[in-house]
Amino acid sequence: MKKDLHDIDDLFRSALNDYEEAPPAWIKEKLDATLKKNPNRSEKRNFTGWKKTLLFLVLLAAGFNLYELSLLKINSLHGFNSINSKILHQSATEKNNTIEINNLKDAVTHQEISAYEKNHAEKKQAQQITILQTDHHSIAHQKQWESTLFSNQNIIETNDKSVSARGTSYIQQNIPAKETADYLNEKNNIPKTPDVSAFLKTDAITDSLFKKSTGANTTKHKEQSFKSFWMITAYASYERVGYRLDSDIPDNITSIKHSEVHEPSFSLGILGTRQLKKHWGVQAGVVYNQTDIGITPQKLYALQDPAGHIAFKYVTSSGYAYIKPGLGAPPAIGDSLITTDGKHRLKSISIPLVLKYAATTGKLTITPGVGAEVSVVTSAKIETEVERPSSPEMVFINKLNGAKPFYISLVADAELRYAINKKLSLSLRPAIRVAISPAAKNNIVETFPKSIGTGISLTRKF
Amino acid sequence: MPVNHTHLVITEQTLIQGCIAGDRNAQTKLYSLYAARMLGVCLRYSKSREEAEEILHEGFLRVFRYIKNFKGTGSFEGWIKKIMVNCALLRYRNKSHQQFFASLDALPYDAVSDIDIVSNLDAKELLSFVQALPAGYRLIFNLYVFEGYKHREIAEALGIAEGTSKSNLSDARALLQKALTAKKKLVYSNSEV
Repeated sequence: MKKDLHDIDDLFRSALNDYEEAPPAWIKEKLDATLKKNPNRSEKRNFTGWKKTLLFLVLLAAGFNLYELSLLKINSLHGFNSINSKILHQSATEKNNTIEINNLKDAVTHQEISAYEKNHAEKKQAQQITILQTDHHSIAHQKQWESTLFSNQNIIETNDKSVSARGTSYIQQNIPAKETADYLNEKNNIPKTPDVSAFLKTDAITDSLFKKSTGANTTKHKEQSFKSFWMITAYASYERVGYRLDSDIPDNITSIKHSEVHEPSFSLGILGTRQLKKHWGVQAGVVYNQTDIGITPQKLYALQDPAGHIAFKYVTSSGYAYIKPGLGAPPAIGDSLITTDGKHRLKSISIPLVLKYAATTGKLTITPGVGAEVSVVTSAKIETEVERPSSPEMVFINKLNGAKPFYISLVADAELRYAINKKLSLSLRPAIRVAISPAAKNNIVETFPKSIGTGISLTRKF
Repeated sequence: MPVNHTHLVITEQTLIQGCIAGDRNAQTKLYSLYAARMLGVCLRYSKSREEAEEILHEGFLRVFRYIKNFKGTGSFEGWIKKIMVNCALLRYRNKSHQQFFASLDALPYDAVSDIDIVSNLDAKELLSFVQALPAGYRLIFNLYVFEGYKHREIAEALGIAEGTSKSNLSDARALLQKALTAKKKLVYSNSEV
């Protein structure tokens, strides 16, 4: 008998497995009419260029970082030189009245010394340096430009010519930067510092130093007059959250969509913006998101979970869980259970990286931005009740299977900022986020969260 | 001098891409290619041809709507077939369970163990036997025999116990056997006359 039954299986399988019948024409006509009315070309359009976009954003951010680092390096060198110059200047000032004269006595002619001492005595009360300049003694030239370097504000003109101008000119034209530094250090008994030497090797910076000391700013210097600065923003936003579901089986998508209703959600964040140029800046920070989803009553079926236990499978867009009510008899495979309305709360932390463009008119600044963010789901909880013959039983699910540890979203916002004063500003910031990688993957559907919302923020400029 | 002829070879992938782009010609060709075979599937899951045609229509709408979701990991025909089966399942899920499963005793067939007559029956007659099964039996029989589902998977898909699936499959086989025997008797009686 059993063999006969299996023969029936084979009989029907062989006869009907490839069975075909021509469909009537009305099906095609009805299909055409429906498709014409509702073209399906964009029902589920996958975003195929997300990898390229992400790569572009990463490269862009890296480029800005390198640019920023190079600016910081130059600024630090300027700062270091400034400090060193002050040290040199102070040292020279202290020794000027004694060392300079003594050295000069050894080096120049008696006549020159007399002239020098005469001039020096006249200016002694103001603690200024007197330097002799002669056209036929190179040492005197060196004293001249040294003095220019050390105390450019206290230069005394001799022989009807500007010591400052000539000294600067002399250095620029005849004395290499390294020799200048070595001489100055040796002259003032200051040990050579590798950094200083390295810095002074840079002709452009040496020029900048001397030009600055003589009050001659270059065009290049003017171009770098914008100083990058930081802004810290605290914000809160109200959001409408949704998702795009993907599955090979359309019914899975339909069933999830029909069973879940997103409720208004919110985000709180602290963002730091580095304004690199007048218009361009980079924003990053930490954002806390909380999303609530209402779940309609479900009919759950008992299955064997991966651990081998029989439990009821509860499926959501974020993942699934096996629940085992504590009351009543243990379930058997195929048993069903009805749940009441459930509440699903998702918490996540996001780290955005956004490129911002700032356009300012008066007190208003609009800063649209695009970028990407990485979101880590920190908590996924579900609360529901199961209907039991005796009494309803509360069920809490604290962990979902099938959820990914993180997902990536594209972010676009347009911050409208009003400056309260020079430091503080208030902003209105509409923003949109669209996930490009799924938040849930090993589930009956792949879930790509998305949100649109607006928030207010307070920004402090530093 | 050899002449290069460019042959327009329309591959399955070309059709899929065309359908994704909303190309009506591609949709028509895809329909023409698979409609007859899929109607055969729908007929097995339905009690009548009309019902099968409705499932086919609904199924192809879903195929065109969700064709972007096809990832190419399995056969395209298998994917379409899965959609048709799901349409049939959805249709029965939405119906009342009152007439879903029938009692074996209530069925009109006479029990006979001889099934040698089947070789003389054509596919259409066999199909009519399957269509005559109660809805639940028909679904389980189709899912088990044609789709290769395990009882656990059938239980999950239909929301029934695994044991119910097993017993209903057994009943479905018995009913088909009765039908075949009844057909044999009819053939014999006709031949005697």
